[in-house]
Amino acid sequence: MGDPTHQLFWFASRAVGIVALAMLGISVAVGLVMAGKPVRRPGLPARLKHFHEAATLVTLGLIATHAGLLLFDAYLRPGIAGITLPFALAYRPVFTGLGIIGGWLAAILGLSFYLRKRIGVKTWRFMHRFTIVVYALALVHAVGSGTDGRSPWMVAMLTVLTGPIVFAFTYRVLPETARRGAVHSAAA
Amino acid sequence: MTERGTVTTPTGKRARRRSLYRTVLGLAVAALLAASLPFSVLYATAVNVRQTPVTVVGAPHASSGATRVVTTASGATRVVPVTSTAPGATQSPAPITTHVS
Repeated sequence: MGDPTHQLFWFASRAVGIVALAMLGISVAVGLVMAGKPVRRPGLPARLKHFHEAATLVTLGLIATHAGLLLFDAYLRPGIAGITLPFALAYRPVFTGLGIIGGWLAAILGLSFYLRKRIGVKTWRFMHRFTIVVYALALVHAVGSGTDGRSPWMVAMLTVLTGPIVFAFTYRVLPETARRGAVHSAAA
Repeated sequence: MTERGTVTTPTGKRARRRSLYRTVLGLAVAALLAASLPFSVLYATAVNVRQTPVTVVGAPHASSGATRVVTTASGATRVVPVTSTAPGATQSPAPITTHVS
């Protein structure tokens, strides 16, 4: 292994990628909680929406930083094409490609919120359902192309992140009557 | 923070936007601080891997493994087996004995 100081951008990119995944998970979980409406409290939806929007914007920034830092890595040298075009990078092309698709999808779905009046709220809502795909792609990218994808701490982090998302997603896709029943039986 | 989700007045919009900027800034700072943790772990791991000592597999002379460092007349140091005396070597006042397996 070479001098670790030569790998600073590689380490920084990986670290930012890990945090981006965590922030994406939080944002998706909050979005699912908002949509599922398990707790009806005045003012809560607005607060959740505010946090969800902010978390999404920060996630997009972190994804851009994660990719941008790789440009300065002297070993990988991905070039603009390597970080923007899926499957163009020689390093684990399938998993990095899925990550790039996830990144673009995150940008399109996240920023479409600001165009919902133009594209129509119905279309936007339909598009927004695919946000879970972004998280799935990010997960596959992290496990497949991340050097620490299978290390115990990464597996622990992904489990802690994914557990509530799976729960909230299942709750969200349940019919309204089943959801009410679930909330009542939990409260009893 | 704006409590209502459907604020349409310009003042309300501005306040909402300012509040959003503040939250974004707070989250961004928190994210960067959080990123410093995995960064430190990755860097420290790389440094430790690089500094892993090479295991010595055997001593050049001594079959028993016991050696000592002696100073020659020219002032240079040599590692010699404890059973033999290097020609022209003078034993240092406090010889350093090492055991190499």
